Amino acid sequence: MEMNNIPEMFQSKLRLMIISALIRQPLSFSALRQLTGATDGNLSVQISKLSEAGYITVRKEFAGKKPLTTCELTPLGRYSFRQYVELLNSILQGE
Amino acid sequence: MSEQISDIRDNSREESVRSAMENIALIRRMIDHTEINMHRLGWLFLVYGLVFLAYSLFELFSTMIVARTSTLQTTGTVSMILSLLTYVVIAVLFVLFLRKRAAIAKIENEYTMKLFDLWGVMMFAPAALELVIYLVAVIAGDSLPAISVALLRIVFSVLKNTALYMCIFFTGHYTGSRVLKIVSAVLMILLIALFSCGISLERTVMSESNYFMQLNGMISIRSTIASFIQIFVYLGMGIYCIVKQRGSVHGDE
Repeated sequence: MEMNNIPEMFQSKLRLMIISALIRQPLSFSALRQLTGATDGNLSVQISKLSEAGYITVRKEFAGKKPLTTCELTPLGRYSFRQYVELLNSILQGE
Repeated sequence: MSEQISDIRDNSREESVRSAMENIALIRRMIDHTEINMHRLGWLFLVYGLVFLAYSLFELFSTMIVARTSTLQTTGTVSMILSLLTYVVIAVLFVLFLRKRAAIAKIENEYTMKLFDLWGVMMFAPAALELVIYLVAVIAGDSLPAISVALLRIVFSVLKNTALYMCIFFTGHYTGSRVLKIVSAVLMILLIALFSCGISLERTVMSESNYFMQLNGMISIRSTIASFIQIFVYLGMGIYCIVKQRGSVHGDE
């Protein structure tokens, strides 16, 4: 297997960071921004792409008067992430 | 020509390996930043549990020994001194907690800190409220019937234990631990059984008209049992968290 076989969703470092961050728990937009160090615009674009691909769900609600956007990994996203990690391991093991 | 093709393949292979290692490091870094470090909580629980186990055993034995060998007034005085000593111990623990919190806040992620803060409130806020109740009872003196104070303390004990078990459930949910959720449910059932049994387990060991002495001489078996359950819950939580190390909402992966 080669690195050029990886799924499109994992070809971006920022998307990979978003998915990795969401493995443990759902996170807010601001938490993802802080973790990834990305700009609002860039982060929004990548989140939209991941949402359209069905890897994450985006929930928008209000905490008082402040809008709160929370992202959560879907079962498809979780499965794809596992597959990708197995791919990486197979590359390192020289398969 | 075949050597050139082989070189190209080797370079491509090296590039793939390097890229794979970078991505794995990236994934690891992101996961480390979002994992809840249960090891921190574990030590907090253990210290809290051990301190109160030692203190509670000392209080139990010393009160029993004094009650058998001394006058009722002395028993009440000893009980009062031990009560005040409790709050000194809690104050010291609170200071140590704040210092520990300040130290780990620099290196831990917000999720671990939120759980750390939750348990900080759980451990120390009830003690502060108990102190307020105690002072109100002392100030009110004989104007407040002893039975009212006893009921207040029992209600407070039930609420405190309920809050503790809810915290355990929430911690189990937040860290993906089914064990903690089950433990909290079992403890809640035990608590209901303990405080709803019809037998009157309260007994007053002195008949002094002095309210202050009555208050300090009253022994509540249920509250004592609940306190010891609480201590062992903290010790059990401490051991469990240290063994588990890490937690996530979606369980261990």
